[in-house]
Amino acid sequence: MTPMNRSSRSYDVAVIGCGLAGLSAARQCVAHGLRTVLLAHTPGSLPYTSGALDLLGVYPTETKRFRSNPWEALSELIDREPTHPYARVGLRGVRAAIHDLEEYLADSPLQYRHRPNENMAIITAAGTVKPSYMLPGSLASNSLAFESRRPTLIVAIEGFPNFSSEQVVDNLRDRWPGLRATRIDLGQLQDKPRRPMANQLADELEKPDFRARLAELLRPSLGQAKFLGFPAILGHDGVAEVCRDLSARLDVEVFEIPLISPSLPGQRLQQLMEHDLRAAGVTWLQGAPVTRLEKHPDGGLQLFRKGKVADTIYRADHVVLATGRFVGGGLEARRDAGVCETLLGVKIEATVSRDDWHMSTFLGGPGHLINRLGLSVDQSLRPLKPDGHPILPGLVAAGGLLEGHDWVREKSGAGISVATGYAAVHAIVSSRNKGGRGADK
Amino acid sequence: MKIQTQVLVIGGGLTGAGALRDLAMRGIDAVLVERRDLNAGASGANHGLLHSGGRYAVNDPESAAECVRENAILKRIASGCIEDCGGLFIGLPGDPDSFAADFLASAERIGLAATVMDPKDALESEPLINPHLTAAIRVPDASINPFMATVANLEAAQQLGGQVFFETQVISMEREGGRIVRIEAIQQRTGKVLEIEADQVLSAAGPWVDQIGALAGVDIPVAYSKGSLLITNSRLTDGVINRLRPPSDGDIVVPGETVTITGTTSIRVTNLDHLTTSSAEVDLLVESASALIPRLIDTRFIRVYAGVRPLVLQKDGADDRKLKRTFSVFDHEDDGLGNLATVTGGKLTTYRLMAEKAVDLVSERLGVSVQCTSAEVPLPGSEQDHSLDVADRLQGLRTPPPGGEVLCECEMIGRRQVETVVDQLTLEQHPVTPNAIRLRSRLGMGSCQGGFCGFRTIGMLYENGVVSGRRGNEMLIEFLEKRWHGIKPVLWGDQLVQEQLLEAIYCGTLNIDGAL
Repeated sequence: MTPMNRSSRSYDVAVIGCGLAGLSAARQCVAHGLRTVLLAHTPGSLPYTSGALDLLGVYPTETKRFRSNPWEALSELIDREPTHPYARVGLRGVRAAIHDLEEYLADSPLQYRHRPNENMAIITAAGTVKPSYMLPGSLASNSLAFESRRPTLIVAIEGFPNFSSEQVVDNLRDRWPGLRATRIDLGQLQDKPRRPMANQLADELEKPDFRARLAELLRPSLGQAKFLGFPAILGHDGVAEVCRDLSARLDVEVFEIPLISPSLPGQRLQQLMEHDLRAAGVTWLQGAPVTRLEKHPDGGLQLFRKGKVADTIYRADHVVLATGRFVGGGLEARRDAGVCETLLGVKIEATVSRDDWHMSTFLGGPGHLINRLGLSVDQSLRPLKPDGHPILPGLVAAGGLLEGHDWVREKSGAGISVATGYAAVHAIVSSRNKGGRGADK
Repeated sequence: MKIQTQVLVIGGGLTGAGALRDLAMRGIDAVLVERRDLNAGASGANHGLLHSGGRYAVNDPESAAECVRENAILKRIASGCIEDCGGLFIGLPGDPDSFAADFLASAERIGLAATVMDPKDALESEPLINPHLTAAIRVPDASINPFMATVANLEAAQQLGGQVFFETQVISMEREGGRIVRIEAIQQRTGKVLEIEADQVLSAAGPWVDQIGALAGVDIPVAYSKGSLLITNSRLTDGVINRLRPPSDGDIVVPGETVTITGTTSIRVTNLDHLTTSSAEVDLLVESASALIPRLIDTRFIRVYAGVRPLVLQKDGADDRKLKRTFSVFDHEDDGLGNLATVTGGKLTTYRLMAEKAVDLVSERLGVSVQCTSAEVPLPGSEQDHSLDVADRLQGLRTPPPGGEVLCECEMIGRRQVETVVDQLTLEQHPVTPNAIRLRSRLGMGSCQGGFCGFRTIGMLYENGVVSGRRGNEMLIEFLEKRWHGIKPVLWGDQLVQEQLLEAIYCGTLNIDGAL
C-alpha cells in the first residue's frame, strides 16, 4: 500500500462524498473562503431522490403523524431525541442552514420554492401524496395543482414503464374529481423512435421544435384542464424553460410528478450544485474511492485516494466525512460482523442482532432498527470512539451516516444532510478561529 | 354453485396437477381445487432439482431407483421445463472415504449412470467448486422449473376438459356409509361455496393431507420437516453440485436459470402456515454450502424460503433424513372409505409416478381400464426437444414482434409476456395479482425481488384497466410485504443496499408507507 506518488496536495478541508451532505458542506467551505477538495467515489445519492427537499414531514414515526408545520415538529424532536442529528445541530443551526439553502436555490435555475412554516404536498407516480418542504419549480406547480384540485390532465408516455397516468388518477380520483389520465405516443414525434428512457426523453424536451409538436399532440386532449402533469422527465437544467414554454403554448400550468429511480429532479440538483462548486474553485475528484484516512505526520489529516497504479495522498487540516449510509457506501452491514463504518472501520456499537435489524413488515411502523444505527458524534459532529473521545482530530461527519434518525420514515433526509453539512463546516471554522488546525488539538 | 365430477383432486401442487392431467388423459372427468395458488406448498419451495437418484443411492435405494426412472422420463416429456445441466457429487477432505465406493456400488445396482471423474477435470468443468475436492462423480442431475411444470400439467389437463379452481378451500366432507357423498369448498375471494359431488376424491394436499383426512374422518400419520433454501442473485455453476457424503444440511447447490439455489435444512415443525427461517439457520446454510462453493461465503443472497416435506411416519423418533423418501398412496379401505385416496410423501422428481399410482387406484375404483400414458406424451411446451434456457427469453425480447418494454430487468420479462399471463388468468377467472403473475412468469424472482418490476406491473394493470381505484396500490403493498418475508433473513451486504434503496423510494419518494 506504499503510494508511489507522494506529490502531496494540501487543502484546508477535504469533503468526502457528493450527496447532499457533502455538497452542503462544500458550499459552506466556499462561503468561508476555505481551500476545499471534494472526493467522491459514486455520483452520490441525489440522483435516486425526488428533488423535493424534506425537512420533517412525519413525527413521531410511531404514529406516522403527518406534520403540517415542520419547525414545530422539529422542536419536539430536538427536545425528545438528544442523539438525533437535528438535536446535535440545534434548532438555530438547522434554521440557519435551511435558510441559507432556501436563498441559494430560490435564485437558482431550478427555482426552488417553500413556505416559511408549512410543508407542501405533492402527488407521486404511485398516486400517493407526499409532504415536503422545498420544491423545485416543476414540483411546486404539482403542489399547487393538488392543493387547488382544479381540472388536471395527467400525461403518460407510451412505452415508458415507470409511469401510469391511470394509476395516478385512480388513486386520487375520490378527492380530486377533475383529474383525468391520457397517454401519448412520442414515437410519432421523433425522427428515430426509440424505446423511451428518461434521459433521452429529457434531451428531446429541451428542443423547442419537439415541444411545439408535443403541444399540438396534446392540445386535443386538454379539455378543461388548468394543469398538465407529466412524469419528471421535462428536460435537464432547462426544466424551467421547458415548463414555461409548454405552459404558454397550451395555456395551462405544467408540472412534474416524481418517479421511482432514476430521478431527473435529483440529478438536476446534483448537477447544479456540482457546477456551482466547481465554478467557486472547489477541486472536484470523482470516480475513485478514498481508501484510508489518518493523521498526517506533519499535522492535519491525510487521505489516500485509490489510483490505477498507486494511491494519491491528499492532506487537509479538516475532513468532512459525508459518505452516506448503505446505498452511498458509508456504512456496511456484514452477515457475521454487524454494522460498520467503511472508511475508518469503526464498528457501530449496538446491541442489535441481525434478527432485529428489520421489522417483520417492510413498510409498517415505526421503522427498521437498522436505520437508526450510525456513526456516533458529539455536539461538534466529531465522530467518537466508544470511550467518548474523538476518533481523529480534525474529523467531522455529516449526513445520513450519523446515528439516531430514520430519514425515510421521518421524511427528513434532505434537512438532515443540509443541516449537518452546514454545521460540520461551522464547527471547523470555529475551531480554526480558536487556532485549532486538526492535529494540534 | 354445484359441480358433479368423477374425480375431485385436492391440491394444486405438482402432484395434484400431474394427477389431473393423468385423469384427463385416461378420459376421466376431473376437477382440481387448490386452497391458495399453484405450488403453494413443497412444490414451490424446493431446490428445483430433478434428482438423478444419486442423493438417495446409498441410504434409500428404492427412492433412488424411482428417481433414476423418472429423471429419464421427465427429460423426455417435460424438456421445456428442464435444463439438463448435469450434476456432480464431490468429496471433500474429511468426508468418509467408504461413501464413494458405496455410492458407486449402489448406482450400479439401480442403473444410475454415475461416472468417476478426476478431481482436476471436475474443477475444470466447474471452476467455482472447492479446489480441495478429493473425489468427483458425474450424474445426470438436472434443474427443473417447478412452476412451469405445474402450469404445463394443468394446461394439458384443461385442454382435455379438466377444471381448476384456485383459492378454493375444501371446508367439509359429508360421509354416508363408506363414501364421501358431498364436498363443500369455499372460494376465498367471493365467499361463494362450491357443492361438489364426486365419485372419487383424490387428496394430493402435500403436508396438508392430514387436515384433508380429518375432514373425512380419517387419521393420516404425517410428519412435517421444514427445509430452508437460499437463492443467490447470480448463477455460479453450470450444473448441480452435491456433497459426496450421507445427506446433511446445506449440501446441494442447484443452478436455476439466472440464479443458484442452495439448501436445505431439516427441522421438525408443527405449524405449516407460518414458516420462518432464523438468521442462525441462514448462517448454517451459507457456511455449509460454501464448503462446496467457497465463493458462497460472501456472495449476494436475495431470498430465503422454506418448504415442508410431508414425511409419512414409519417409526417414531427416527431422523427425518433417514425416513424413506418414497411416497405413499393410501386407499383408506381400513378407514371404511371406498372413495378417498391420498397420495403424499415423495419428491418433486417422482411427482408423475405418484400421480400415476394414485390415479391407477382411482381409475380401478371407477372401473376405468385405460392405461396411463403420462410417461409417453410430452407436456405442452415440451413437444419439441427444446430445453429451458434463459437465453431464449432474451431472444424473445429482441425478435419481432417485440416483447414490449421490459418490466422485470432482473429476469428479463417483457410486457407482452406479462400481458399473456394476465389474459390467461382473466380467462380462468383467477384473481390477477402480482403474485399470481410471478408464479407463472418468474417476474419478481430476481435481485430486486419485485421492488421495481412490481411497481411497473401494477402500472401496467392500471393502464390495461385490470385494476382500478386504490386496489392496485394495495396489491403492490401486499406483494412487497409477501416478498419481504423471504428477504428479511438475508439482508446484509449488497442485498441490504438494494433493500435500502427500495425503502428510500417507497417511503422517501412515494410516501407509500403513510400517504397523506
